[in-house]
Amino acid sequence: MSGIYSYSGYETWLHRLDPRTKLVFTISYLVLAFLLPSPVPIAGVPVPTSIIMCAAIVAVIWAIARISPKQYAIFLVYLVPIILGIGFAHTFFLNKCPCFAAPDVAVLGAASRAGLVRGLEIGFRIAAMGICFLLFSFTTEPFAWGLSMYRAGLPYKGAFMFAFGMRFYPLLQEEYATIREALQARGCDLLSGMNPVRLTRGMSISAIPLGLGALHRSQNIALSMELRGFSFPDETGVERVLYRDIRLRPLDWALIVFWAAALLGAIVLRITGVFAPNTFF
Amino acid sequence: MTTTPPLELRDVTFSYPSMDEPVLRNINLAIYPGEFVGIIAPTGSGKSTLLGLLGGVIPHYVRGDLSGQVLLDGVDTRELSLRKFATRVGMVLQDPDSQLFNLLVRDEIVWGLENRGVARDQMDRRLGEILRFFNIEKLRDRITYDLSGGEKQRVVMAAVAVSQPDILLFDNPTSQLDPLGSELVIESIKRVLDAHRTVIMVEDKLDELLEHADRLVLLHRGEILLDCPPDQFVRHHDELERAGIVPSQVAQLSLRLSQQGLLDDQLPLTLSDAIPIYRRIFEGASAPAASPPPAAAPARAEAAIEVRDLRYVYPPPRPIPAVRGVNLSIARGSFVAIVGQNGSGKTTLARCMSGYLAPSAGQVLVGGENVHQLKTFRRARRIGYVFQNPATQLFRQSVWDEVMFSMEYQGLAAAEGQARAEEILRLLDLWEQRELHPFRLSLGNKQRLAIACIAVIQPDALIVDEPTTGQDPRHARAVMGLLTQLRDRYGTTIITITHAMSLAADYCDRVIAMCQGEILLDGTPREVFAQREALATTFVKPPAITQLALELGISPPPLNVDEAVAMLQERLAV
Repeated sequence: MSGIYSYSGYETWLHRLDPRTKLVFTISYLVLAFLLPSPVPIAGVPVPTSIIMCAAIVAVIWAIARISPKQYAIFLVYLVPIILGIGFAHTFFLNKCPCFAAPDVAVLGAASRAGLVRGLEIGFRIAAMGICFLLFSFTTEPFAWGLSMYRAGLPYKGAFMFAFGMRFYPLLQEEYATIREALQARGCDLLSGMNPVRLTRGMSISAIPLGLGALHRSQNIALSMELRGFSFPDETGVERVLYRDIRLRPLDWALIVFWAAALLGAIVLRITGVFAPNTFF
Repeated sequence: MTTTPPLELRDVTFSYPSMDEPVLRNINLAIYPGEFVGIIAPTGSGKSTLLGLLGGVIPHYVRGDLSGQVLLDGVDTRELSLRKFATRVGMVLQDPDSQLFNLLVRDEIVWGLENRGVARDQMDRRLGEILRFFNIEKLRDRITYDLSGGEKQRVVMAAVAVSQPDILLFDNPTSQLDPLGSELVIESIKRVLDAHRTVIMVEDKLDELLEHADRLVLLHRGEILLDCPPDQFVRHHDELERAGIVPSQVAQLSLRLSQQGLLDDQLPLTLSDAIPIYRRIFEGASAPAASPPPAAAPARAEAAIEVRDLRYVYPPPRPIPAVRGVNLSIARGSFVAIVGQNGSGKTTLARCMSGYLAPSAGQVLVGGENVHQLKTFRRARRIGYVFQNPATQLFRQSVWDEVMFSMEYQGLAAAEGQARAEEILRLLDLWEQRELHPFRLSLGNKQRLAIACIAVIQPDALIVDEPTTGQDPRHARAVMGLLTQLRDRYGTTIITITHAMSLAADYCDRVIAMCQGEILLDGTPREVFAQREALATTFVKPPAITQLALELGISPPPLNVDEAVAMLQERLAV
């Protein structure tokens, strides 16, 4: 069982990295997406940085984490209307937002190539951020993440429940898939297409079984957790002992330093003007 | 027994806040150290409530009106916290998925110890011990949601037992498992008993309890009807009938032969006890075995479903070939059971046949049309699918609206839709409850409603995924009877995925046994169940009565108790 934004379970060195290392990388990558100059020339051809960043993160997920784009193709498909929507909006509204334009200005007639380029650039940057989050969730075991947050000072119950939420998410996805098929068995394909109106209607129909199923399951899980002593430390003052040792290894430290330095360097280069502000920011 | 019972219920009556009537009435029950107490109860008799009281969940986690006393080591449970209760009593619930909340098996097992502040080296030692105890060392580093049902339930048992409670409560631990999973769980429970722990198990299947329990308690409508050892238990015909409990096939056979004076004082109740006794009795009898009623020659019926070289490989990260080149033709109007252990490919095959899964290769023709090329509403008319859990298939506010919801997408005139809905609700005995909210129905009626919602479309074929799981034997038979009615009334081809071999033997005219994604055996129930060795490769056991007959060298073997009685009588020339 695996889905979008759920742990893939492969055994690679990327999977084995400490979640904090991957978190530093993710944050650095997100910020870099907006700091790096664009376009950059590759073999004399100017290529938008955002597209390079999208391609790079997809390549990392594929080559190192061994997860092919086919496995999250649906996520990539959903990105397309978002990128196009942002591109469309900027094409027409780059210089004048319709809300503030004078009534006699033909805003829709003011399409610009610069607006289109800028819109697509922003769209691809946002896509790169989304795919980067995918890398994090595909390769990070939720409980390792929870424990690392606990180590970082978050209360245990909060950290565990957060991790458990990540564990619960694939179960909900599975239940949702069953409900979708149960609707199809009645001849109803409201949850199968891309039409937002139909999807909304389908979601409202499936909310009852999905919600009740989740409620029932969460009640049973809460009971099982209590029976196995979840509140024991709070009630008795006994200190909880963690079986699993979550520790940053030399490779983790090296990568954290590298990405933090890359981020810092980009900020400095941007402030000092070495990185020219790209066309858009 | 003279020892003080560590767990005792004295004149306990309990009712939930939302209900007028008590769920349990005047319950007196004492559990002694080292005992294995089996609790048998039909659906809705209050067994989960009883288990909740024994496990301290009531009154600490679930509230209600409790009178009388529940005593743990002589102390009223009202004065104990759930935490203190949990150190003495461990509880394994029905659904393993609701009890696994860590990702890795090792984390799941030590989680309770972490909460109790056990030192890491001790955790390591106890983890190793419990993995060995339950024979699950190989699962140590596995991801919990990748395990089979039987493996999951054993991991839950290990996670509960690692805290070393003296008393273990099991709520239908095998009800959602395949035969292999059930066997492994029962084996684990036997190990727990060997370690001198006390076991209380609620179970729908009497066979398991007859074989292993020291004492059986029959609960009916909130009251204890019987509390006695297994050999006495089965002799209380009136009480069992009142509660709708069907004794195991071997027990029924023994009782009937005993009534006819064919058995001396011994009354074997389990297969293992029955084999040597019956072998001795029938050793001298040389009369030829009676021929069972011949199977009806299969008519040259038109194929409702044709499966051609079907293959399905699950997508990465675990690209398992689940179906490997299956060819199959299912005749219109037949009632087919697909059996096999979990992971044998039966559900994947059924999902490919219904069009939910697009095969990696091959095709499925339903009524001559490729099912994967049909539009959703058209596919629903060709082939219906009823899922295992009815709760995921009910969307509306009343039983009537639920059935009418299926009609919305069929393009029928309103009057015709209503007529069909009324007909199906009357046929399935749900007409009187048409105004009720679906979630107020009992589990059995929810299952009927889920079937009604698909049957009302009148598909050519209907696939029903484990329709009897979690239902007591009486309700299970009712569901199978209902499917037969649908077949007879509408000519619907019925395909059921099941682990209940005695039901498959009684209701189906064809059994397909799957193993590792391929068809292992395919024939009438009698033909398939006669091939015990081949079936063993997919961990399927023929019905107990068939197994007994095969052990006695009776061929072809009987499929039910009536046939067995007739054959044995003839063999003894009574």
